[in-house]
Amino acid sequence: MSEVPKSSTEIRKVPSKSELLTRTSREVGLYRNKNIEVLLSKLETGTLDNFDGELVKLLEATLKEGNYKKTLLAVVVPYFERLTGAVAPTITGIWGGFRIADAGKEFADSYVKEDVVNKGRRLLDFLMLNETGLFDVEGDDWIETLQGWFNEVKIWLAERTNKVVRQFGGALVEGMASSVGFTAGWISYPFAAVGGYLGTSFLVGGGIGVAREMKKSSGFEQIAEYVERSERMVNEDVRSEDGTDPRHDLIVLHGRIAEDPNRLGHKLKNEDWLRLSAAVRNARVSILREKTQVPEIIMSKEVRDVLGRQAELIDRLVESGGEIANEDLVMATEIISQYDGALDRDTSAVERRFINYNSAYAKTIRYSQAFVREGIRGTGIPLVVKTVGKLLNISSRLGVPGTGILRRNKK
Amino acid sequence: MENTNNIQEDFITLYSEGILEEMGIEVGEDEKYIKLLGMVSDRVVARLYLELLASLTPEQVSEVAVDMNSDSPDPEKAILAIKSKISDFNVRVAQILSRVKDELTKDLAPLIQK
Repeated sequence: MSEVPKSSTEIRKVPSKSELLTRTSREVGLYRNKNIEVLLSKLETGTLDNFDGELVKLLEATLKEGNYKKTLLAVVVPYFERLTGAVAPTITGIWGGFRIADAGKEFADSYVKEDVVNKGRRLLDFLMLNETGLFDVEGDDWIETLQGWFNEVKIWLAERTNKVVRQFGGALVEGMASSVGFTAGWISYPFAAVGGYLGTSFLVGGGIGVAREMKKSSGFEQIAEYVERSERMVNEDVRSEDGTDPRHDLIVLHGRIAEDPNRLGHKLKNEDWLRLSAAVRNARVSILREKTQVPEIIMSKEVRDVLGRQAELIDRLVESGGEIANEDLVMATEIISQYDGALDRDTSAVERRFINYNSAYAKTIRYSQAFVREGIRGTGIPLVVKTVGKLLNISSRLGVPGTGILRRNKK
Repeated sequence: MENTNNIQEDFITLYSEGILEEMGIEVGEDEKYIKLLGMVSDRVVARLYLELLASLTPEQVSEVAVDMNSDSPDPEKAILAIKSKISDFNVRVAQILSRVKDELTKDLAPLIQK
């Protein structure tokens, strides 16, 4: 025999679980858990904060099985989904996919581990054993207890994710995290500029704006025109009036300026040169990426089978991707080279760059790996990735059937 | 207790594997997968390095340059020195990671197109 938790209602001895769960199919068909009925009627009056009809029916369905852990999971997981629905798309931006099941399971496990006296189990006992409606439930204490339990779920999730957000974003983000979840747009929050005159936006396609800045610089108007036309091609696919590709024009101009000791008569400041180089980098990357668009790929005529075509595609993507990475490192070299040693804003820095270019580039290849892989260790980000990964999980879709792409099981 | 050193050392690889897994390309040991993973890792490293440098002041870039050209470079110290000067450093890195992931997902899309 089991007992129901104390409440303001009358406490009675009730039949055992096995007795309650043993019933004829006819009885099952007519049965309705009285407590569930009360919950549903409460929903109609709009007095339940934490769950809706769907969740209540889910609770009812799992209660019949009498498996506490399963019930906890079955109810908590959808609840997590509802709580986190607003932020999942934002988090997806980095970690990809929100594995609610893992977070829900972790929460449920913590409750089950804390064993019998846990409020959730007592509540489920109460709800389950009231299946036959053999005793009347007076008062709404148990409903408050149920809502309280869901509130605990909500608080647990908020605390857990806020901890991760604070670790990850530092002081700037902390102010944005509310007590229940966090602002959906936190990941795109614009950080304050610290004086980097190039600005990240330039490198990700904001070049047209930069071209206007370049025009303001005296003696730079002609170059700015080349930059602007190239950026229009990169961002809007707008060719030159004669139909040629302005990206190639810019790349050629950049090369000619770099090779000429007099810089073709252009008086370039460090910033101007770097902006020009960044525009060239954008142009080169744009061209490289076009090479791997499927319609542009000319497959070898001998490669007819699916796997063969796939292998060739992979080779092209790897080659192109590698070259794009190189373009980034070339640009990084240019930035470093401008400030190799004492600060110098005249064009002599450009000349030093070319004298040391090859060695500077070679150093960049080595240093960048160490800078990112080893240096980033001290930032705490990798640990946050792992922590967030456990909570939010870097989910993997099962892939598209039939493509036969590199499908292997992780050992 | 997890070995946090292993987690941190493998950060770029973990993140790169995650990008590929998101696209349905599961972790593997065949040559093609290793090449793809290598390329993705190189793209992530290069972009992180470039965008972090691009956001620094000339003085900060100069400090990195001095370290890079020294006889005993200490990139960990260099990046910690930068991080301490930028309050939103982690958010910045998160944004860069997000951008490069988006870009790689688009670039590798032909692999999963039917």
